[in-house]
Amino acid sequence: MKAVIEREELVRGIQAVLDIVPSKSTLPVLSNILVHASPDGIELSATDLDISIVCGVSGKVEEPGSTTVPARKFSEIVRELPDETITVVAEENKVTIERQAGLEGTYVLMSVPAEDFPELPVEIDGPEMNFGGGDEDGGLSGDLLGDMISKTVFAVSRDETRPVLNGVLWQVREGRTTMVATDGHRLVKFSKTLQGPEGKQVVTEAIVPPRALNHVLKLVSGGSRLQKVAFGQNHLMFELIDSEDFDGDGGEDIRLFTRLIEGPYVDYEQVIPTGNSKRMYITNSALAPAVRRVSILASSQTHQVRIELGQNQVELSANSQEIGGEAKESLDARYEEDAMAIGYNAGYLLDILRRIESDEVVFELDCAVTAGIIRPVDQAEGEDYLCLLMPLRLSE
Amino acid sequence: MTESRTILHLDLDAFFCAVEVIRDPSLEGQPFAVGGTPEDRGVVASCSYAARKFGVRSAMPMGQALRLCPGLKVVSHHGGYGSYSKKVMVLLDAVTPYVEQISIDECFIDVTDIDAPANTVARRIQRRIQDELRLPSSLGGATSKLVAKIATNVGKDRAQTDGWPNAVLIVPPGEERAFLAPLPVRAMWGVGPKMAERLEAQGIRTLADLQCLGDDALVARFGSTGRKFHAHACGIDERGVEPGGEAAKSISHETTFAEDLHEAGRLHAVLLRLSQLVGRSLRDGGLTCRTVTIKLRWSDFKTITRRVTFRDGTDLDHDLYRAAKRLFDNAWQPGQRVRLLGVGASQLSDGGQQLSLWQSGDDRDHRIQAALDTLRDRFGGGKTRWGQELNQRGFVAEEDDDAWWEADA
Repeated sequence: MKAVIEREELVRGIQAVLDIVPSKSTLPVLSNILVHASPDGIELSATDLDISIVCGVSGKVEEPGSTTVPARKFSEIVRELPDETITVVAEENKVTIERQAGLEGTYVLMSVPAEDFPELPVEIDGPEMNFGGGDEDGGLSGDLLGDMISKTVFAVSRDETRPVLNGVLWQVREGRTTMVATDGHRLVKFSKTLQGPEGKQVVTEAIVPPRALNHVLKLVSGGSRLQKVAFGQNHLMFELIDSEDFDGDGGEDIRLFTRLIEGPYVDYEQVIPTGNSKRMYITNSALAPAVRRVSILASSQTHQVRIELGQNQVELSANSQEIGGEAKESLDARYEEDAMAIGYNAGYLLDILRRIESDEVVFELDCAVTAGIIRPVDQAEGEDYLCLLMPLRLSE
Repeated sequence: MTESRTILHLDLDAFFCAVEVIRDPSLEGQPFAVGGTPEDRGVVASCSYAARKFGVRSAMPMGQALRLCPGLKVVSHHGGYGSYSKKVMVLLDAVTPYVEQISIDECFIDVTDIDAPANTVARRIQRRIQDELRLPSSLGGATSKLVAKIATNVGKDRAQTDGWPNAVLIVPPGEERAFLAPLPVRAMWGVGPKMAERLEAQGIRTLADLQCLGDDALVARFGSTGRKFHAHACGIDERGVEPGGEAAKSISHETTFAEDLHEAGRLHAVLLRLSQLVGRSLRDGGLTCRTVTIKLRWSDFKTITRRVTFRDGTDLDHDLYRAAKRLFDNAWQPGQRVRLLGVGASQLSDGGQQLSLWQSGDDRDHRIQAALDTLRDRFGGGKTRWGQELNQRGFVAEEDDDAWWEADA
């Protein structure tokens, strides 16, 4: 195999796949990147067996072939090189990285034959969701999908005893798509109406591991454009195009495949309360910093912040016996119901407040031991973001 | 440097026996033992001083005790020991708030603030417990908990009497090292028979040997424990008396059976009862726990502990029991004989229990638990039992007879 690639382009490709390379694995070849050069182009691939990624890299293939190279060292070397043309040559058990066709220097790495690399999924057979036009034609853009991910993925459970909660539930229904995540302490749900052209929508759902979603989020925020998502039986495929290179005749594409978590998901609708009649409206930009400050003196075990609701006023307080301190702050709020006190884990509360863009938030409450609903007051057309938070039982 | 403290250690002499003498004064001076009968393969839970002269000791099989002392009278557990223990603590509380109970029959008392010589204070306390509760006790006094406890034991050993030792031994400040020096290593708190053997194998027989060896040599041989050995052998122990005992770190209840148990039903019933006691202690203290530990001692004295940590804290009896039962069922082979069972709660937190979305929304579990607690307070535990306990009615003790789960005297 011999391929000539611009250093900048190779760095882009390595960066797209490097996060998927497991840092520790029982299968040593997984710490390598698969380099495949064919007359159709050059592809870099990585997998941890749950998530696989294939990234196209533009360059000139002088001799088709495949090999695998140790990912981290390959990445370090290429990153340290100046912007120039690099030649990657694979021979029997080694890969040579040549600067300017070997004129200025060579780096040789031991390689593992490509045949030892696990076979990766190529295509997904199932309903597809296209992301071409984004908001302009009422469909879902990659940016909005990224927004949905970042507003839900944080609440995914890490408790391995209930695997179904270790992923984000992604539902696509007629006219609406929804993501839900919960760990039993909080539940977040973000949905968005879809007005795509008739007949183009899919009706499906999947429980997606957060690592895959986070990687998609990273690619999207790095400038890649989401093209398509294919929902398979056991896998989901995200297809993206690197927009930096997008010059009209199609940039290099990235395909990310993730294994799905076997369902069914919990019946989440059932735990969303419908009778929370006490409403407290408060300014997020005042509340979030106050929670952060007060929680400095909260118990390091429970992170409990006590919220005392009075007539148009809220008092936050925390105390810690270990530190031997207490904190109190009063804030203006709109609340006209009976006085009540409720305790929350400050970390959980901040996780939610930080993802609400609206400056006014509303807490819909019932009593001190049942789930409270926190929502943004102002939401974009067709969007619905709902956060459910279970309180801490306040000590007497 | 902090001012030196005066700490007393109090030990109720042959506590279970002393309580039995109050119940039946004819036992006074007799060789007798509290525990299970030899027919039931019972063991000695506590024995009178008259019996000790024949070589009878706690934890000895009753059959063996009878062979050593053919005239030994066997008294079965009557229970109620806990209430006597509480009376002692109430009495001590009137002397000073600085009382740390460490077991049913032992406690530390910090008497630094009492303006009288330690010996006088100790004798005064001993006399009040004898006069008001008719319980004999021995006390040791020193500048630290460690030396005070050792002083009690040394004082008891030195008591030249056939009856209750009623000993008081005070180690004056500055004389700790000299007092400890001639004692065998096993006299030291924290040195069990195995460690004593290890030390003796290295030629370390007395605390003087430990004192001479010095810090570095002991650390080289025993790691960080070595440093503790050296400090303790020199009488250095910075731990203060903590009123309320170790409640801040863990809560546990355990029971040694007078006869080993091997039936799942009975063992589960004991686990349930222990879980309830732990749960009640948690709720009384306004605490929740995240870790549940069980302790199991098999008939061959081999002891194991198993623990599980929840994601969320709890103070509910049935959560504790469910966890304890699961741990037990994983550790126990059907038919295996169990000598001791214990349930403990740790990773405690005062309030702030994170509620879960999957809990019944109306907080039903806590309301049921509170109702049960109220019933138990009003009518005693015997009136409110779970279905499982009712099946074991013949076995589960009545509420006022709570001694079967308490530690040996």
